[in-house]
Amino acid sequence: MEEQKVLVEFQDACKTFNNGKIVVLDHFNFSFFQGETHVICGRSGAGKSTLIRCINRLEHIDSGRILFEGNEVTKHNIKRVRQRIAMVFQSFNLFPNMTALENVTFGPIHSLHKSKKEAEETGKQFLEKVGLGDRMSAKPNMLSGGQQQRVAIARALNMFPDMILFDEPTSALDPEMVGEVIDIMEELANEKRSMIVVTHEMGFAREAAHRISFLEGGRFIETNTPDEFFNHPKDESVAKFIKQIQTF
Amino acid sequence: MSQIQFLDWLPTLLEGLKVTLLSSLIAIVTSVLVGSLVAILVAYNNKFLSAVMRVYISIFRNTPLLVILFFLFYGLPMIKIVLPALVCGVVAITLNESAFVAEIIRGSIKNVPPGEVEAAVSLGLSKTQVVNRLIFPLAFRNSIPILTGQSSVIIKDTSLFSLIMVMDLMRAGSAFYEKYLNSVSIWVIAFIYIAIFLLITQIGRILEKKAMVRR
Repeated sequence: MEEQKVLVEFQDACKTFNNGKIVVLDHFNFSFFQGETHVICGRSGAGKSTLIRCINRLEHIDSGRILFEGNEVTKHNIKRVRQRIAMVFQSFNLFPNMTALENVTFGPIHSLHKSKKEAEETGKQFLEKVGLGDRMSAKPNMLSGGQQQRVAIARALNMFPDMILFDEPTSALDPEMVGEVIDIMEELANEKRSMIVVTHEMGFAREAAHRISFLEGGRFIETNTPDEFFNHPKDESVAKFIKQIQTF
Repeated sequence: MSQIQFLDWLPTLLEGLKVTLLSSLIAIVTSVLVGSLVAILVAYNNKFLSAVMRVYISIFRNTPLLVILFFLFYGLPMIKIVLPALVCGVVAITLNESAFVAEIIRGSIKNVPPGEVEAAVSLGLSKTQVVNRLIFPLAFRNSIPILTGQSSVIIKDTSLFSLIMVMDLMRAGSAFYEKYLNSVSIWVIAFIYIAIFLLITQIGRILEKKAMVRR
């Protein structure tokens, strides 16, 4: 990993809720690399989602800095950063008044100011890539949860981002639909796209992640390769967590 | 009502119907436009703009339409501003109803799921783009059923025009009564109003079906 370029870097970042009672990031320092799939796991309420939401300033850190390609992410450059870091949400968050294709082209047209023709051309390609070439004119309410999440992934891809943030992308899906989303995410991981994935899907983490981190108490208490993480966890909490997962 | 009386009254009735329909249409359009603008300005969350718009909503929603109408028609000439009666009527309705429309759309804006707004924000859209391209269109579509009802209110409001001598449908009915001392004309007017409302309801249902955002 040492040859890899740092894409996102947290420097001494702190984030709390409830007037400091709930600590999400505690002087957090970490670098996410270009081309890696980094899975973040941890117990519910540990702040995994908040961590990635801080990267594109959907949440604001209380102190410290977050850098994207070496430049601090501020309110002045956030628009450009968001254009380059796409996000896939837990509950899809598709625009209900738009078709799948319109959802996918909305960002490129209005944010990147691409022509409708160009945005549709690439949008169609990405919808086909996620297996929805025949559902382009369907509105979100006509799609299953898995299909909606695949549209959301196509929407992210059509921004041609340098990084994609996945915030528990399969949590809101029925079990039988998880696979179709995971397959696409694995394909993206194989393409060496830069991804930070918050997930409880340990199968995906084992198969596709380059590194896995465990968030607890506002810090990554362990970061390791999947093999080391699952088979030889250094931290007791992580070992306990893995044991609990395996019990299920 | 004899056939002769009816034929004598018919041009007045048609003229009144035309004025009612035309002024209603204009008032609906202007009320929705102004109300939408006010709702959008409130949605921007700019403290100053929001405060100004809230005062606007508060004043015109709580002032009786008749008071606004009389103020424009009888009050403004005192400061040498004389507007045609029909203009006074349309402006009065616009001021009054746009406050209600703004509140309707503002309510719908509040109901736009924050996740959808976050999705647009995360794509790099500016606040203005998010409001104009996503929040307002969604809120407006979801407001259509209530706005249809409000359109009926606007049509009913136009009947007050008769009080400032506009020859609308209501005044056409009164004119017949005053001439022949026969109140059958009021029945005719009532049926025409009901027919208009039934038509509006149907149009509203079609629009609702087309525009309603299903989740």
